Amino acid sequence: MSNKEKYVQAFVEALEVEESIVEGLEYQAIAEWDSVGHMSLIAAIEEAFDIMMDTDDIIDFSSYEKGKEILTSNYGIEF
Amino acid sequence: MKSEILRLKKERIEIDTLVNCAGVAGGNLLAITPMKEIREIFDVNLFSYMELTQLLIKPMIRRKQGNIINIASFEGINLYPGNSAYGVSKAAVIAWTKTLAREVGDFGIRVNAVAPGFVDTEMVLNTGEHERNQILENSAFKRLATPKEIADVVYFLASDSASFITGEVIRADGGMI
Repeated sequence: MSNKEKYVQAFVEALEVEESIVEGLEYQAIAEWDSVGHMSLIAAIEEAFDIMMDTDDIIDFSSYEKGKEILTSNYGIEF
Repeated sequence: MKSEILRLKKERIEIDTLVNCAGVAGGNLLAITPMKEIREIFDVNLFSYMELTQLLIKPMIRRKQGNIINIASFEGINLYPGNSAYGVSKAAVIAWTKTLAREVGDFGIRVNAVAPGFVDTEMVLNTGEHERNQILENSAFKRLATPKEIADVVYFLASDSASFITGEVIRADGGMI
């Protein structure tokens, strides 16, 4: 699985949403991505990429796109 | 702390049950307790619990199971004079236990606390004997607990026998009033 596929799959599993709506998603734009959903999403991403995210990055992770930026710049994950 | 948790993660060691049990005693009446001492006590008794839990809770969220047991104290419930540091830090542990239980209940993670009375340990024996005896005299058992008696309560909370208990504080204090 590519990094992008793993990333999308984390959203699908953690937020229980269809793959088709994942790109462009923003925090709190859908009911599923509330603070509880966010915890679940971060846990899924940490497991998918075998990383442990800093709390500042977890707070800054405000959208699908922003999340990719953070993972690339701070955890060396290329998409 | 983080590097050790990362090591566990790399070795694929999963933590099912976390017992937060670090603790330091100290403090006096507020007017004669340095703020530095109060902050140090809170650092160990509350913030270290929160920091370790923050590191370990996400894999529990992912697995949708887990168990967190925080060691509080009867002094976090019976708030005697001279307890602005220790007692209040333990009261904060209790409040946080209940809060966290609500946050992670959706993931099947249980969070509870044990509030021991005086336990036969070096930390307790180093505190004021006169004050300690006065408090013990007001308890049903009038004696110190053994460490095992507290550990048995922790064991119960960690077991499946406590599967429907969360957000709770169990006093194991020999019947303190």
